[in-house]
Amino acid sequence: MTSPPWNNPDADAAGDRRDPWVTGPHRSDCDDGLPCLPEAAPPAGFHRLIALFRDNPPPEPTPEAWQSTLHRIQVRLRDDRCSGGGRWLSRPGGWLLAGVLTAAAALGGVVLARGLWPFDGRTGGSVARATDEVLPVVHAGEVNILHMDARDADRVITGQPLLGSFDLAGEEDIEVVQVEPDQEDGRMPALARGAGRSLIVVAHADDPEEP
Amino acid sequence: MMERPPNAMSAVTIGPSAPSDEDLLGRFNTGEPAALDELFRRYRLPAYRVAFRLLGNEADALDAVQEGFVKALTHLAGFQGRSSFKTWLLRVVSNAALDLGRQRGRRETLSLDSGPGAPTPPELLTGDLAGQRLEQADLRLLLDRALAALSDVQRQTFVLYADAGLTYREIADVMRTSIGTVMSRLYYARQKLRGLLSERTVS
Repeated sequence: MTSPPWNNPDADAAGDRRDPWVTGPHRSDCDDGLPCLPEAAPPAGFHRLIALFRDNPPPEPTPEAWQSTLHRIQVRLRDDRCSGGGRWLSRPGGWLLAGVLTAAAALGGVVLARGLWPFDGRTGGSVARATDEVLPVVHAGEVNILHMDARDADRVITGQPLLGSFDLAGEEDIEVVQVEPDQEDGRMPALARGAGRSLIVVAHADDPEEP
Repeated sequence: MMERPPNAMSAVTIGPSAPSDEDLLGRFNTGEPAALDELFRRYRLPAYRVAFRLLGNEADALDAVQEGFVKALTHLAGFQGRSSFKTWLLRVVSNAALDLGRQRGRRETLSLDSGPGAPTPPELLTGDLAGQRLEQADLRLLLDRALAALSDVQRQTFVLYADAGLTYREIADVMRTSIGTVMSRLYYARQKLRGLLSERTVS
């Protein structure tokens, strides 16, 4: 079976998975993993807005205010160095305490790690067994889900991978304007906010309407 | 893709012969006072601008800058090897500013005499100059009020982009979030700001 490049674990990471927009002279402008699609570039209106803020910076403090702030920083850092920062080591018994703590940490590490060492086949829980079979990567269309627990419904994604630009939004970015009942069964949808749920909202990053 | 703000303010100018941040931090750790002076001179302006935009007045912004420098320099292990000192400092300063804002409330001040230049009292200004100062101060107040209408995370993201000139990736490092989330927050911040600021102001 031949996997497509985007789904082939043997493909060269720097070559086959490279975004086709990131191969030209603008490569250095793009961060790794950042989708360098033309739509992702900020529109011209955004540049004007940025320039408006940049051209009207906050009033700068006087040299005396800067000097006063620097002086307060120096004083606080000096106080911090005098009051903490390892002085306990110079106290009587400090080195002894440090030695005891180090030995205890090392012993704890050995005890914890021992449970993970595969001394025999029964204790090697985290080590792959020799009989494990490496499964080939398949297309989504070659997978039939025969049975699935309903609680896992939000953990399975089928279909093509997301391509192109999309915005990830946090809960604070979403404002519910209107909620309507379903047209077919007339039931009101349940809105679940918070509870650590991740939200993905498809949005257009480029807006043709500029001020 | 153009990721950094266009014509981004270069508040931090480091010459080729100037010591690197790493050199300065090493010298600071050995107790050399001049290293702190140089770090402060190098990064005080972007830190102050971010803090001012988040707090709305000079006194609180300078308090946040002070708090940020102290925390950033006493917790250096928190950033080393993962980001630059600038992004680490701006993270601490912006968080300190947001904390201060929650404690004290955002207090806006409108000052004619603290612009980048002369502290001339308004009554001594000529008519045109006084008018320009007033107009600029009005505009600045308008911008500050529009920023204050954003949520904390949107305001922080926008200010780090517009005033500190950070890239998407640097903002993501500062805010410990993904680049997609940064782009999303900028998008919605822009939408809100565009609605709050008049057509005449933005164009």
